[in-house]
Amino acid sequence: MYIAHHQVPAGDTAQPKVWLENVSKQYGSVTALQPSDLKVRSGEFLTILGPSGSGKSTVLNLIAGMTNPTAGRVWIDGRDCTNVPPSKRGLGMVFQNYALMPHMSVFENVAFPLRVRRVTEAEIKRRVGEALELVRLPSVAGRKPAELSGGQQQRISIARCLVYNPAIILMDEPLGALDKKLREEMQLELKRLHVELKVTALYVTHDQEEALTMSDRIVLFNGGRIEQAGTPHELYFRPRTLFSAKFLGDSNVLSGKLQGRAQDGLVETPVGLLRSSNGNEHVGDGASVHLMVRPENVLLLPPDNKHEYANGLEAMVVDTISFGGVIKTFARLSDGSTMTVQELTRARRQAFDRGARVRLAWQAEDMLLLPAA
Amino acid sequence: MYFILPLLIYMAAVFLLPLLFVLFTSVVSETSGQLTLEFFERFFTHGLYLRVLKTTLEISLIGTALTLLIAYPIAYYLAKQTPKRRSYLTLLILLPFYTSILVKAFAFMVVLGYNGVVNDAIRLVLGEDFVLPLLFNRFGVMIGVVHDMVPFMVFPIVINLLAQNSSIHKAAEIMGATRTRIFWSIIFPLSLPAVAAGSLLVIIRLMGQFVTPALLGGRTDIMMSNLISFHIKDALDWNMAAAVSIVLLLLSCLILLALTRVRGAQLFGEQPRHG
Amino acid sequence: MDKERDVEALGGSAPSPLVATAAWLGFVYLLLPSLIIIPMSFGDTREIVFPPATYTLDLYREYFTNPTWTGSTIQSIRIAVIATLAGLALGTSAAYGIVRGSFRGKVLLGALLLSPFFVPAVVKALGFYIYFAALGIQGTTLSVVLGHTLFVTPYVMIVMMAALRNVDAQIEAAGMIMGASRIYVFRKVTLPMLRNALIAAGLFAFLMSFDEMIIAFFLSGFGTATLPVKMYESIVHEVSPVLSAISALLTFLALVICLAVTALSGRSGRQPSH
Repeated sequence: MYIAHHQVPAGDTAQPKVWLENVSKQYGSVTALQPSDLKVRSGEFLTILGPSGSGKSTVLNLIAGMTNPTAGRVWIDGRDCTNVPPSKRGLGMVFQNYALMPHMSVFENVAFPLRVRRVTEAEIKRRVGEALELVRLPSVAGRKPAELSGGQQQRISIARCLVYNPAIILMDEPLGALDKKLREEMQLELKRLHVELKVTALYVTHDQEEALTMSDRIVLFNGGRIEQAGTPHELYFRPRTLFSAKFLGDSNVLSGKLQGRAQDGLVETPVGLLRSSNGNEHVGDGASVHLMVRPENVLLLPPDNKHEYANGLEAMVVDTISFGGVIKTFARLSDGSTMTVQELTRARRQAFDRGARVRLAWQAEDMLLLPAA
Repeated sequence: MYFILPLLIYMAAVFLLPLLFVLFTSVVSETSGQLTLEFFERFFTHGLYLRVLKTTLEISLIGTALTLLIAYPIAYYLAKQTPKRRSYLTLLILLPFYTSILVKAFAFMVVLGYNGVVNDAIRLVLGEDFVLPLLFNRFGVMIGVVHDMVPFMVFPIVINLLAQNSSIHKAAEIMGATRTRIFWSIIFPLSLPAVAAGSLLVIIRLMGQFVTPALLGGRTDIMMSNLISFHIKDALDWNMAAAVSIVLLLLSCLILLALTRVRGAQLFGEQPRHG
Repeated sequence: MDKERDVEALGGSAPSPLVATAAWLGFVYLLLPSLIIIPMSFGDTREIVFPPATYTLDLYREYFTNPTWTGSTIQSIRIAVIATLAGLALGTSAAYGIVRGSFRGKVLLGALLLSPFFVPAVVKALGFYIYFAALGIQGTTLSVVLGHTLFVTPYVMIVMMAALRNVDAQIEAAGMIMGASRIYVFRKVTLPMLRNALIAAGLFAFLMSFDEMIIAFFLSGFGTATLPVKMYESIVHEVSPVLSAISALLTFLALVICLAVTALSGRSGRQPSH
């Protein structure tokens, strides 16, 4: 998995493009969004990630103006837009089902926002041409959306946003309707446009891989509140909660009790003593904790191997499944629970039969301490 | 929503107000100007009115049953066709649905009269003396009203049958159920909401029938609508016309209330949306 | 996807001969009036029999030359056109408000707006009669137009609500986010997508008003009677053979509108499949 790893543009000092200031949303007695504070920095690619019902669509609707917050304020470009209708917010939006107008040609679709703004005909012609050029579809202007493939339609819908330079482009699961291969292609395309044009983008998805690949920053939502915010790297390698750990990437989770001082990271578990070199400010001395290690950080060794890793456990191979580029081995620990090990598929890889005794080993720095819920 | 406002205002002025005028006329005597329930009293004590009420209910209920009997096989047959054939065959239901009720009544007068097609055929086979009274009686009314109502029953049932999950039928078939059994234990029970919705819709419309009983029925087939018309056009008794109308309206509301209770039924033939 | 589903509906096996027979008997019964009336209309002016003894165009000639019939036909067309336009405006706007709106009591309000559909025609007619008499317009063309507008509006609403539900609300949302006002989006985006449905609803409403007899019977006076009212009176009093020709023409009109509406609703609101 590719994890985006680049510089975060502009710090907190610059004026945010969008600021949800302590907004919350209630539908009757149902809380869709607990009071949350969220800033989208100018020029960044921010992803709102979460399972369905986590509040991510509510965040999008609040920014777009489709719903009004129960409390708090919505700022766009330094302007209080809390009670401004969607048409006056100066936003762009890309929808999952493209939302192209079926009765208009591609040209007219892209020209629509310009016509609303009473741009002159010559200017419209020029800018629509440029926008179609940007999404690499300069030759389809005369066609109807229905004559284009799904991927092409989504490019047109992106061109329709780029053409009028909105303050921020909102994207609501824009690749959800495309098949896997096309989706990966479009991810790179979106990334390229973002880097080239330096537009501010807010991307909503439930697909963690998409989020990790494309974003400058990810805000993970769970149960109507922000679970964790940070760079893809931080969310993947430094999840602060069990939910974050499980939602992004695969994980092996064990439970236990801290021994001695919290910062020593020594945990007594049913399968033995494990060591973590990562502290967690939310965990106190002697607390019950979860331990998490990514499957790709676990090594599969012969049972008698004398390794130098801080953590090592006896296990028995239950099953081995190949996923093309990687191989996953499922091994049973002494307490009956199962751990997953992920290795790259290589010809020289040492194979273990089902039922073979093995030793699982990993570094203390790859073992994360998470507070028990 | 200001999009609804124009119609709301129009309905208040040209629907609710007229109905209030009817209600007013049913309880305030034209001659004395007094508030009175005498017109309703007359309705529920006089033989004529009670007989018309009984006739109305009879024609509505029996008509609905006959409509269902004719409509269900048509709906089932349509649901079994390929989409292309079904759209052609549906035109055979739509044409009579679109045809003026006067045209239909007139045509049935020609078909069912003493010199009509049916009696001509009977005479041809059985001799000059044989004539069946098919017109200006309950039979004539039934032929007319059922004809008028069949499309209203067919559409909701077809939509229901098409929306049924065919995997359930296939599963039953694989488990060894015969077609008859699949129909009676799966398809028919699942179609009952549509049958109920269609039946209630048909009852409401039958209770308000006017043209067919007037043209194809006899003296004893007068329905409440005809009675209202008689009072306003011939007897010039607005009070009784209004009282009969209120009773008819309340009966319709009662059925409508039942209709809103039918769950999972599609009232207006909206196609179920997938995905 | 939908096509595949359809073919497999109810298991896909052919209906049994018993069902097919019952269905076709039903079809014959339903089509009988239309099938009878066409040959009848080519009979002569003396008597109403089926099949006619001689075939002529006399009945059509009689219809097109008799001012009673032509006058009432023109009256019907005038009323139907105005009622249709008014019904389209009121019904489409209300359908948009109901389908796209999000407010409390939406379902109840929608039911209220459709309720004229469920009120027996004679009750509506009586209400108009008493009410318009009080307003002093009873017997005028205006009174029939007002009545018919109320009569056709629920049909327009039903058609337009179904069509609107097929129009993706996100397309409208997209329009608004790009800066267009709700009215601009309704005019430039929603209405063009509803074009076929509008024509279909209009044709249907026209036919409903053109054929409507009960309200017109209660409301129209001697000089303002519509074609169906004249037909009804003719059937009740004299049963003129011309009725066959008129019936055939009305059947033809019904057929044309039926085919047009079917063709239009087959194409309206069709979205590219995802």
